[in-house]
Amino acid sequence: MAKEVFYSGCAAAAYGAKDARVEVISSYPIRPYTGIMMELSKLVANGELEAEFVLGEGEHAQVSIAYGASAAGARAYTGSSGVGVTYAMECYSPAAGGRLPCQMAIADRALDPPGDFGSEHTDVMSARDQGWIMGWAESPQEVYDNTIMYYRIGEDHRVQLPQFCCQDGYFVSHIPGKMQMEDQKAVDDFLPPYNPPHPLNPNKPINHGPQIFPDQGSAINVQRAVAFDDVEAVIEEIVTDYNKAFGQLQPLRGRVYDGRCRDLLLPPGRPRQDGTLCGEPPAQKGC
Amino acid sequence: MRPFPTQAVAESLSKVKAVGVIETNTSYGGVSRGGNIAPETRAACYNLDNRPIITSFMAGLGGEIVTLNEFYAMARVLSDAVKTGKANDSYWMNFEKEVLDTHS
Repeated sequence: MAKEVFYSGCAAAAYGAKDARVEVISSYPIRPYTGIMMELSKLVANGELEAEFVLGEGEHAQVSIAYGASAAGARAYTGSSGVGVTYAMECYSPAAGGRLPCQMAIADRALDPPGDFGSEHTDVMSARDQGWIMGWAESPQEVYDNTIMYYRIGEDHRVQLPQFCCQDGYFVSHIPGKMQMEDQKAVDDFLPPYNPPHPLNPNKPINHGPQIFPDQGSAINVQRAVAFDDVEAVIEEIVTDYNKAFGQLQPLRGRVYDGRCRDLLLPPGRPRQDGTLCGEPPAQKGC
Repeated sequence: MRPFPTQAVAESLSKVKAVGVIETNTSYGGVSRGGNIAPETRAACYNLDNRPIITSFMAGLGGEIVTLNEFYAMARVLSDAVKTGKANDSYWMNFEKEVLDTHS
């Protein structure tokens, strides 16, 4: 049965990963995303989630573990915030170039300096060119939904790309909101097990990421670029399916713009919700 | 690139009709489905009264040599763009029929 809960963005991500039946989790602490791993480690320890919970020695190891697990055919989950996201920078291109659809939860945090614990998107935006699908949730509900949907989008054989599943640090990650958690059986029906076309298998050896020459390189770049040609259509299809399965939870193309507006602000993530709550701008403010 | 010479780029490109930005970098899934320099160049030209056609030529990726024939092909795409008034946001050299045809 679907149930209504009151979760922070961190808990929503953890329960989204649990309901997505992730098989390998790689963890290393940094605020504010740490809350996700705290929840997941409890779920694994309590026997509510059957998964390998691996501690990386840093974010570089974390992402390496995640895409290695993905190459071996496991649904893999990791995450980070702020400088942790940039420390793992080397590993993003191999994951995308290897077409390994692991997922990384991001709870955005400002880089150093300012070194405060504020929420700012520059951390993961630094990795925007590496070939990962990326998008922001504005509420715990969207965090939960995106965690499940991103796996199906990324693992789709037309796509096969890793995903940054982003939420604003603190404003979303640490503020609980009312959300709907779905029935496990229904999530299983929506998200079938990960079925990679070319998993590593000792009984059927294949080579992932072999050394090649410069004149062979651009073809691989083109394949990664072409993979993005289908992503928008796949997202539309999968969000429509999600809404069909679980009620109209997700707006397909935003909820603010309905053709009536003359001017438009385009905020990603948390400011979108704040702005929506503001409603009609008051005339006396000069809007 | 940083600081991007926004004013200087806008002023010099206001005098031409078509611009091809040769990119040896990629932004997968990015706004022009090509590299990063053409979108910044477009943004620099956004406020011009007469904006040139601006396109990305994705060439030399992975360290591949950019051949003389590829430069001719890029020039041909640009001169066609001036005639027709349009061009794709990006061309992946050696991988698009439209570009390959101009080699012959």
